[in-house]
Amino acid sequence: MNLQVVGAFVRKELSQILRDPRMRGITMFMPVVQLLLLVSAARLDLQHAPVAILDLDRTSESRGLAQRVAASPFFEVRHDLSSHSEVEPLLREGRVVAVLEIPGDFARELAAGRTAEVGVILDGSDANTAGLVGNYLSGIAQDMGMSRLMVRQRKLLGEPAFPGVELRSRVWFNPELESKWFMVPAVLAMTIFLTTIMASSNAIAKEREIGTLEQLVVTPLRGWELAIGKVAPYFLTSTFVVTLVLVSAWLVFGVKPLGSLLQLYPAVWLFLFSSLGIGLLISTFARTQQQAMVVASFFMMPLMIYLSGFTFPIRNMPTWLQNLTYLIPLRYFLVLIRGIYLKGTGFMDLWQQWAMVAGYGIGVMGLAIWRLDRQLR
Amino acid sequence: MRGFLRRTRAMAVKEFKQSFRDRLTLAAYLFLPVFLLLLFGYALSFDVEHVKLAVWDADHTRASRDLARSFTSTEAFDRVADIRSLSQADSLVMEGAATAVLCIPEGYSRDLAANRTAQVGFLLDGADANQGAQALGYAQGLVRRSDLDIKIRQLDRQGRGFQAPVETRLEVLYNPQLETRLFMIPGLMAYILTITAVISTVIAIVRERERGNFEQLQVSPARPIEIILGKLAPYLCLSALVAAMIVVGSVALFGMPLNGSVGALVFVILLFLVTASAQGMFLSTLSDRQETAFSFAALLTMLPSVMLSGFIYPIRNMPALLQAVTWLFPGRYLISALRALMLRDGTDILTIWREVAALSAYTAVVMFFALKRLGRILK
Repeated sequence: MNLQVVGAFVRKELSQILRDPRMRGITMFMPVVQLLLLVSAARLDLQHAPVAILDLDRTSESRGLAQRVAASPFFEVRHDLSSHSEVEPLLREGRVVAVLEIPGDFARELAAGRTAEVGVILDGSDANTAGLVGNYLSGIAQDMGMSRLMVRQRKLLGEPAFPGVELRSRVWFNPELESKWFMVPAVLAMTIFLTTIMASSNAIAKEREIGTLEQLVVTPLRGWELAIGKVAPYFLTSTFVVTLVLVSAWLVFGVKPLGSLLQLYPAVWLFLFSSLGIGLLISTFARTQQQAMVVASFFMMPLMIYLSGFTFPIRNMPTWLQNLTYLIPLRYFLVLIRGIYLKGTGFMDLWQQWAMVAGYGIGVMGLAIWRLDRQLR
Repeated sequence: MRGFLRRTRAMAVKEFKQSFRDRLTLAAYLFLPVFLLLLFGYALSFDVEHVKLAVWDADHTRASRDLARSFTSTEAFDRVADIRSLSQADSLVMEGAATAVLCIPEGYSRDLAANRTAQVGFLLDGADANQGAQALGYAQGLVRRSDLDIKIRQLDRQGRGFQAPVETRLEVLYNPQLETRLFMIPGLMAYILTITAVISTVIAIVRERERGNFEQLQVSPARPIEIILGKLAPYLCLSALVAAMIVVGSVALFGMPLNGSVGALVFVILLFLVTASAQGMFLSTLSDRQETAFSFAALLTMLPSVMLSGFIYPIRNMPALLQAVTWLFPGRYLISALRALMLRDGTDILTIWREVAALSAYTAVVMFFALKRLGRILK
């Protein structure tokens, strides 16, 4: 390897990337913007769900139930209805997710010791929210009934105690169950992946489209030296980006890795072999930049986003698809980087992931360089 | 006017031929909707299912076994291990062999028999916050249910003609089976259309800019607006085809209902395509290099249209500042309009007037700036 030539080529590539202020902004600072925007977006639990209450009873008992709903952190009572005809329009326009209907005989049935039936009308178009709302509203209503019943039994029997079960929970690694701990490493991985695969898939295709690839053939550069020149600058920019993201996640969200930086950076560098390798491989097939970009964004990115475990847990997928996810390098990298961030897991605990990230990277990069070398003969 | 139409059509015909001659690109545009529709219809779910549960039953009585069974008889938890100590629980969770541990202490049934409240422990790996929160909620619900059952049995034993005081009757409108995929298909549609329309527009325009072809077009009799319209026509047709594929596919394969007005559905989808093209036009004025413009477009569409549109994560759960940011991503208007029009009965254009108004205003503003900047570039 002619170090001088390769070194000169790397410098030329680096200055070409950094010359365009817009490209510089995209490669360097876009990941931070994405981090700031996306990290606090991902919450599936129930918070302030807008509901309406149709109280046909208007007694202290029915108001008691309505108050319990209003006091719950899960709900926000937006409308107080007085007739059935108001229910449907609210749900249809999506202004509330559920209506709690307290029947006109609620207090009477309770007083008589019979079962009072309350209705919950749910907007099923958001299935996840509807399921949670149904459970929580039923729980609140049952709690209310139960506590009334126990008060009455105590009065009747003196001070009887009731048996019961209570759940004491302890949550590891992320005691408050805050999604930011989960999302910071994931968004970090995702933005590094997106920016590097975009850049590298374009790298050779651009030369080919402009016609400068022929010029590169007559330089003393060999195929693999060309590949090094094309990808090496991204190791530098990505290291900078990771540092920037690390610092801003720490300053803005108070999220910093539990594990060692001596594991985090090598993990990123190893992963870059995969993402840059895949991009370069696309580049060796594409005749124009359009092809390279379309293949990267319409095949690769969706595959990676949806099959890596970024938003949808791999555990929930059918077996054949779970097997397919083994082909996605991001899958291993996400386990690694989440392990390092959240659990501080040691190197040995995740050696399989390390091995897969390394093996994948070397394999795909090797394939890309081999193809490039042949094309430049 | 006739000249306008003729020149625009000429431009469009040329662009049709040019862009769809490239089979690979065309295949990629059409692969995306098919692939994602099948994936979302058959394979992806964020419901809490098959959480790996280890059980530590130190009580070994009928009551404790009943409680454990109430967990494992659900879809949510799979019993993967029976353990005998807390340290075993720790190491299982650390290795990731178990996500949750249910600990029923010795003396559980004794506490119940003595009318005391027994405590059971639940240890959870919270690394995946969303799944963790849902699993915890599920566990709390199961224990609450057991608690109620135990109390009701006790009251029964006291023989006071006992009846449960309150029952709830759930009535689910619009999606009675609570199928997650019916909820996600509108979001999927917005995601695919955003990517297809924005990226294809950006590539189509910036490719000409990078090659310097616009200088040549300036000396042609076509005016800037005709050039742009002609260039966008094939991609608008392509996006409309993709939209039709998704609607027909989701109805045929997954029983997606079209409960609202179909006319309004078509209208709002077409309106959105104009919005996305306007976005693409604006983005294509930001750089004359394909790489840069494309990177902008991909970064502004790929992740935000998954995460800031209400596709998967409800917007109302986001911090207020972020909720304000979501107004900038038009996918959110399309998604809420589609959910209304596809799933809810009796919806029409009036039900979604807010979304239509927002999309129109957004389009007008973006289109204004896009045309102004493009006009300057083409002059």
